[in-house]
Amino acid sequence: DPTLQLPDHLLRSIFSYLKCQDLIHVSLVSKNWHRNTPSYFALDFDESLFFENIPNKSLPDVQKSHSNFLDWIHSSLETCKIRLSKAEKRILRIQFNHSENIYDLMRLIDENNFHESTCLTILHLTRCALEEQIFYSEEKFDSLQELKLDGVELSGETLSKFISKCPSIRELSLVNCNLLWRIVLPKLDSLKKLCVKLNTYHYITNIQVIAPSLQVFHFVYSSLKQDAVNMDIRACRMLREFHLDCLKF
Amino acid sequence: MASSTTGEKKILTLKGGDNEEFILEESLVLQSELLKNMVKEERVSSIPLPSIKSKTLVKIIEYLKKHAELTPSNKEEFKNFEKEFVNVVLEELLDITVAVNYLKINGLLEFCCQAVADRIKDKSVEAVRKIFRIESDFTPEEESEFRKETPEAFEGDLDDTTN
Repeated sequence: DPTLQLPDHLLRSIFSYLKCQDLIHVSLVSKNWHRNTPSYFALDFDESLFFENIPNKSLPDVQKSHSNFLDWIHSSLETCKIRLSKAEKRILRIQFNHSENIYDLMRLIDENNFHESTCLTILHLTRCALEEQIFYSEEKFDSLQELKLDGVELSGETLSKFISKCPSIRELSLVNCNLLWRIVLPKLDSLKKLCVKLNTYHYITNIQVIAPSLQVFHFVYSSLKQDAVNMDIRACRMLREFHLDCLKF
Repeated sequence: MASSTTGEKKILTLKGGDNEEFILEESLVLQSELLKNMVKEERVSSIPLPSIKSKTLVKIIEYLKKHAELTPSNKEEFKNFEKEFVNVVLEELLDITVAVNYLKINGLLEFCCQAVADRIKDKSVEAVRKIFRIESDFTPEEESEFRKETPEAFEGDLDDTTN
């Protein structure tokens, strides 16, 4: 086993580049690898399970269901707090049902000390809305390494503000985000992978990325609109893979 | 630095594990935190590195030279060089990673760790064992339990051990 010559911390640092699925495999390879597999703790929440159970989908019922959903997240986080804080990779995936504004969620994250450096490493948000003001506070997502926003409604300013609070971010995916016409990503020293996907219903005019260690950039844009996209990735000096998938170019 | 005042480039000798000597400009090794400290604090002109094979040292010195020459105009060339740099047999990649970790060359260490991780990515447990030549040291009972609990971890891509 040639990996026995690696000190534990080096093995761990190698494994830290892997995702959950790969880590499951890593932990089954040998005892030495098992011992050094970073522990991870993933929490998945899906609002559609709640939504299905609303009988006539009337507005008050929908609102009530949404607040029950948030309560569920809150109590789950509270219950798992200790296990969560012991894991080395902490993953939170939340799929909402509608584009609700999620001030409440940020409050939940706040209360659970997700801003501390020992917290959240991966955050996936689906179908919700984010407004700039929720990022006005001083707190930062110091430990966040991976962020995926799928069907999220947010402006370019909000995105820039959010990202500026994630200094360790390695991977960023933006899939079918509404209202996102300009993507300006300020100085992101750790960003390795960026993925922007937009379907026919979205459009985008400007992309500027300043990420000196960016290695992979996927840009999928299937809009039929004529507008040209103004893209500035000059600052990405380490870019080795650029996948472009557009209907028009 | 003293060398700049004399106008002469300082020369340093690195001694690899098999006593082979490598003579290079002192400025090159400053990318290594370990060597930088040795050079600055102890003012040595020859540094023995018995734990690093000469073959590995050759590779690392090659990287240091290329990295020192990096300018905006040749970044494309450097990227290709980096890609080729880690395109070596696994044992060699691990030797390099261990040495770079010891020498504390931070950017390169990250790159090497990523390259090792890439060889684990998207592979089944058996494929990873084959690539890394690791024999399972779990008991047969533990092993069969894993296979029962997570059968998908052992399925597929066994042939995908090309790297």
